[in-house]
Amino acid sequence: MVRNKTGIVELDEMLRGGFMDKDAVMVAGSAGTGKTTLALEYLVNGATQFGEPGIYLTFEQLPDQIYRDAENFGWDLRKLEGEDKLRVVCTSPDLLLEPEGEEQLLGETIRELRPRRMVIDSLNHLEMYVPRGDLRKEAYRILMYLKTRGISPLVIWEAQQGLDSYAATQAGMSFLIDCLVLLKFVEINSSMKKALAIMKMRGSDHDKRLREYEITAHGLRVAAPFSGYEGIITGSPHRSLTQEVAGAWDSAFTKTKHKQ
Amino acid sequence: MISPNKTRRIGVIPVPIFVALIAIFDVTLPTSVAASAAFNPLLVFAALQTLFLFGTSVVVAYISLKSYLSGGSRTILLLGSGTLAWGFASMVAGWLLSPPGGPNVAVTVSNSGALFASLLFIASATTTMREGSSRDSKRRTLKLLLAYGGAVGFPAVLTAFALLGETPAFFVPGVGSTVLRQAVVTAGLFLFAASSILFMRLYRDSRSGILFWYSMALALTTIGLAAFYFGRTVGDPIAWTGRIATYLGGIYSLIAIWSAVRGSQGSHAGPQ
Repeated sequence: MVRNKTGIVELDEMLRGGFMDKDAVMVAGSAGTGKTTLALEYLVNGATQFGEPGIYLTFEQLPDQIYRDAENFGWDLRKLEGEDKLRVVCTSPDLLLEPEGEEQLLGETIRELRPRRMVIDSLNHLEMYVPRGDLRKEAYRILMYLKTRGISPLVIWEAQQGLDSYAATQAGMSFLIDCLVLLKFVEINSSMKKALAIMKMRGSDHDKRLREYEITAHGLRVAAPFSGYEGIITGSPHRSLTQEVAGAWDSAFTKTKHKQ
Repeated sequence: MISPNKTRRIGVIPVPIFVALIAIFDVTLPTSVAASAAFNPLLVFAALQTLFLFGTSVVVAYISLKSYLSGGSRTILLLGSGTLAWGFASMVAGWLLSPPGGPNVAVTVSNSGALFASLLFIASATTTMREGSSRDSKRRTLKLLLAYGGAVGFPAVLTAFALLGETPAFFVPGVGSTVLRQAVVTAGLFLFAASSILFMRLYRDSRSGILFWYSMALALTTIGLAAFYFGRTVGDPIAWTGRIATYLGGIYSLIAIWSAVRGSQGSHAGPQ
């Protein structure tokens, strides 16, 4: 079974080796959770580590901003473009939504680059340009266009904090999406942490646990699961009684230690 | 509602009572009377050992396990391992007092297990003096398996060797304790007492109910070991005084857990 590795070791472990080839992947989360970082890292690692060229299609940012932000993580997108391993395409959603828009916008690039991966940042922009209820149809058209050309699409979906896990379903996108990765802020012990969960992965086993992650100077790094906490997804995390007792047991000794 | 300080003052009372009882029995009880008063209901003893020592140790070891996995404190890992080793060895000794074991096998396992556990307790108490946390959460599970496996594995292997007659004699029926047993019990006694004192010192700084009750549990276990040292024969009044002290120690370790429960709920009620 062919898998598209993200190159983020812990995430690939969660995905049991990577995303399934040609699966439509959605990365959902509220603003600032690192959706674009994850998507860019997926493309850069694909191009540099796995020999899979990619296209980054954005309706959101101007190219200079993207190059600059990527450089902060040590990713030289211009160099990758020069080596025909990556293309950054900045456009307006209405161009893509025109009849045959995807072919006009991407056809030549696809023939030149023969990409294996593509990121669309984000589906929310398309939503602004299509009549209510037509998003599913347009998304289906674009995703099928990519899949039939051997490209594994990853789409970004910005959702309100607290509604992120349901937003894709509410928009009626869930049947189009094969794999849903949720990024979420959670408040634990009065500090904001970031949590990642694979909510759905059609046709494959995957890690069901909610894992903490960080945006580091080198990209996204997935840490340990939030073990012992309940209610993180619903936004009211609390530790189980056993964990509370274990915490008190631990602090009785460690607090004393600091007083030495 | 009784204040935590008053509860703790009450909690100290059994310590001088048990010491006094052992001293009185030691001075007043002739060996012949002690032997005739010996009471050894094997099943009851095994059940008591299982309930009060193994049962309570499993609770403490489980909470320590959860605590170590989330916090990585080496102190907690050693504490949980020591508690488990003590509880497991005591339970095995309880059941082996009857055939195919016998007094020597039971005493060998119990006393050697106590020494092994006391080494883990003293290591736990001394690691509170310095930083000792494992930041590598991935390796915690492995360390935990090794530590808890060792805590159960050592008494298990020792039991096997004792049953095969491959261990030196600790107790000779009709004669009493051997020099080896006295040395092992004395070393264990010293280490249990030192651990108890170290945890009590830490309690004086933190006023944590958990530390108080756990320190007292170790103190009562120390008294229990001392009683075995003074006993004339298995099951005599001194031995039972010591056993009851260790059972109370098991209950005190549960009170330490209860203090953690109350502490986690942010309440100051109850025996903290």
